[in-house]
Amino acid sequence: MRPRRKGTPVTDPVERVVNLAYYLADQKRPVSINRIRAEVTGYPEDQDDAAFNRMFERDKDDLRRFGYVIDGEADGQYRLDSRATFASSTTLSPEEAATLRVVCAALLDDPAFPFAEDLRFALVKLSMTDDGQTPHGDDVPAVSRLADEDPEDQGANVSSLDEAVRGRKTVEFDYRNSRGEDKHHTIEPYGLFAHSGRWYLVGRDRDLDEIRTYCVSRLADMRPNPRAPRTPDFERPADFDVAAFTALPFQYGSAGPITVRLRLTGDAARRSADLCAGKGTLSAEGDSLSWVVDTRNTDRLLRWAIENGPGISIIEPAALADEMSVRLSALAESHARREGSL
Amino acid sequence: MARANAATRARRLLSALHLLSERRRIPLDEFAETLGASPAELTDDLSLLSMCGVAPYDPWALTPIGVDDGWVEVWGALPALDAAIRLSAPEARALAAALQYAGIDPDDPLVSRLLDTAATTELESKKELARVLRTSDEESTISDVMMSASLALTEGKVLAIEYARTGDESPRRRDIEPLQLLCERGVWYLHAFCRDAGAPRTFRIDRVVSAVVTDDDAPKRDLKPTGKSFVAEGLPTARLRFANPADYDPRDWPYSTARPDAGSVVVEVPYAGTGWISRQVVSHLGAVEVESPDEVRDAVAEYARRQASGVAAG
Repeated sequence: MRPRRKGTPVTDPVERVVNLAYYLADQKRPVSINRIRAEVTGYPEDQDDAAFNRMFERDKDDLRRFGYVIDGEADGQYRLDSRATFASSTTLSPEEAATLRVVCAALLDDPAFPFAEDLRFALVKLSMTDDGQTPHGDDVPAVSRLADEDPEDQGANVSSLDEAVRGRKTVEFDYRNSRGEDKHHTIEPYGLFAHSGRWYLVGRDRDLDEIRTYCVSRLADMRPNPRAPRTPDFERPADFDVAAFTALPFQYGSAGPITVRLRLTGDAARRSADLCAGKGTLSAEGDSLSWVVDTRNTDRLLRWAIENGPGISIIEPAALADEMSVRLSALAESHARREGSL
Repeated sequence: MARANAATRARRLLSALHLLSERRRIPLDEFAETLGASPAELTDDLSLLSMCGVAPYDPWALTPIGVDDGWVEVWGALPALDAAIRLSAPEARALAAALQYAGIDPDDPLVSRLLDTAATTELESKKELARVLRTSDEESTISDVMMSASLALTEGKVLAIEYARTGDESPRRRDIEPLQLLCERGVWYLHAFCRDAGAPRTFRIDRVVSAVVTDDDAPKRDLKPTGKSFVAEGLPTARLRFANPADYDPRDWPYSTARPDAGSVVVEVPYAGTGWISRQVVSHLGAVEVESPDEVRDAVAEYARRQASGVAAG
């Protein structure tokens, strides 16, 4: 390829940004902005100062977003901080390397995972790329479907919401709740979590002055506040933890919470860490486990106990255990074969 | 594949310089896939890279790179930047989010080591990350199994597992040949050829009690993983009736089809065995009735009776 002389017009900004990165990495000492302007190919010679400064700022911002650490805002002498920019080597065990490769391969192709582009570049930098030597050949080693409803829309919305969470910018959206009612909301977004095939947003609703959880697939026309993008609109409470808002299915609802006691036996007791998800209090009771936990939806609790059984029974309140027994007996009766049937 | 913007194209080139420096010769298709570009787009950008360098911008100060016959080739030293760049804060965040998805939480030493390679001046603390983002509701109990399964999968080894099916009193040992990991709705599964069953099987990772990678090589089998936790084709179907249409949620009944009928909804649901479908019907506690076949009606009646007696005994 024929080299391009300094001063030759460069139309593709990619060439200018790569040249700037090369140039900064090649310097032994800090360099002034004027030298950069004179020596890096890609900055037009007939450009006025203001246009050059804007272009240089954009290029520096891009390099910083790629992981380059550039010092020198204060004294106008720029240098690449090599120690901060270049990675130290990371040793991974074979299991760790395999897990990274497999899990990331799945997520790179999952439209509901909102960080795929950053993940791809992380793997490139860690040299965790597939060199074609794995025994699965053409088969994909792992598949992920993080969200099952409109995964592209959920992924795109979560990407914007995550930016708003990090930048502490308010967001507005229309929301259809589980009863089919539509309402406009202005939210201070605090955190995001994925649960059972859906993404959820946790934030303070400015009109209600309450922290609420919203299902991202029910959002429409979501808009982060575009004003003053580098200035936060709010402070997140210091003790906020999104894990406190991840609940079991029977813990969602508007009814006041009631406390129930369940017994877990056999297989259910063995799986208690997964089943109980850190909620409530578990204690040993002979060969079984006693679990005291809050619910806001008793119908959903009964359903959860059956879905995840056998080996899960309601102990208290006794009235709820009786109700479950009556409904189960009625169901058994309604599905029993009639006399004379085959 | 839509053409990427200039920032993404520059990021691709600048993130991958160390790979070019290390490997020197890389298949174009593989390199394009690694960088998320089409081969044509990457060829154009590598041509651009060959014109980039440092002063005096003569042929000896430019990037010695070209694409030839499907290969990306580097035939000399790069002008600069031949070492890997640290992870940016968003890249570290993406990596931590991905590992959390596999049950490896932000306090795990693996995450700490990886995040230590990030540009630390920008990176929010690990605690902060965990407080505002959770990609999985899996507890960290699955991380050991995920690691063993991933290793067996990538190295083509047999995995010895102890597996507990729904309702099993104790787990059973099985030797399996992993084919594919799959995550649906936050639940991880492993497709594998089960040596004990002599057939492909799907295992829920959270039901694998232990997993050990053996020294046995798994033979190459002519099996295509389905990429689904459940394959409906060829299965029998049950006909269910929901008296109140609002009680039917298609997410609860995978691959079902529904039609309105005299104010109610009739749903056809494929099922592989009566265990899952009877549990699902019983859990709706009367909101749905099985119309056919009899084997599912019988299973529902039996499961409801057992559950009722369990409650009474409780």
